[in-house]
Amino acid sequence: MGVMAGAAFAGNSDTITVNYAVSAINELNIDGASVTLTVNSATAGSNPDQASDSTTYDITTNAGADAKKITGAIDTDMGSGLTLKANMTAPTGASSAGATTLSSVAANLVTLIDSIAQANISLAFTLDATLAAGVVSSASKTCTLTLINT
Amino acid sequence: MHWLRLLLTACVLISLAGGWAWGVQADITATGNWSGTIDASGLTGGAGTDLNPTYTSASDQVSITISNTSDDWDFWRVDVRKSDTNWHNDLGLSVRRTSSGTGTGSISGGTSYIAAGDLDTEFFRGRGDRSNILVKLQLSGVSVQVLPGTYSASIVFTVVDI
Repeated sequence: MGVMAGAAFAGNSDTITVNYAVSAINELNIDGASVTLTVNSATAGSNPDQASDSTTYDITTNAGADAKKITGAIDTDMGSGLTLKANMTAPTGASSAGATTLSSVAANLVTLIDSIAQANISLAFTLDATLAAGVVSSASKTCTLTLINT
Repeated sequence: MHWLRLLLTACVLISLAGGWAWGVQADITATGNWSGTIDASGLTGGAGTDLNPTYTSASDQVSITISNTSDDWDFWRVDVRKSDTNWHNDLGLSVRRTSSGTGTGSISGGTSYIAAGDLDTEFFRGRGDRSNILVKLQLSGVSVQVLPGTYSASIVFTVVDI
């Protein structure tokens, strides 16, 4: 009887398989092509006033909890008496390093980034110049932000 | 007592034979697996945006055939469910019938997406033998919250005589 039942049920179901692969996705984009920082004023008795400008950035990653960080670096170091800083607002759930001096060595700007898709997050730059810097002709720096594993 | 035992045995056999003849007669065959890859090209608008939440197969991804019905008035129902192998809780699978197939019987239902859950759910029903009933699949719930990896699930189609 068991054999009969088994034979009767043999063809009453069939199965197909669905396989989906999810690739690592790590996308970072700075919205503004450039920012301009001009130090051209000062209060008598003090160093020149700080110049500031800002843009925004967009990020998408599926790396998981606290798995990513953003570092920032400029192509060449700033001249003597000049300090360029970046202050990235962190995406939801991550941690910002606050205003961080940029140099040719990558520095952490945002850490503990979770899986996130968020756009138009603030990215601010400041330029400080001491009197010792003197008059500096216009120059440009390329700032590279990199989304890497924590 | 001996005759009574024989009578009871005969009743059990007749009952089982009846179940075999009328209860579970039709057979079902499903062919057509589905696979794909989700990567950055699936983002709705580049960096800062999430992945497209749904992915859809070809309209003829799966072909189902119902056979061995007793005649054109042998009514049946096809149920569907999902059996996870390595799946993510955020992901869903749905099925939709895109053709009626061919055959002398008839078919109805299943032309809207129906979620394949852990329990059998009616997909469509009909009568008689039907061949090459085409089915489309839909993956839903995709987002960056789904970690990179390979996810697999089985979709089980079951024909039930009604």
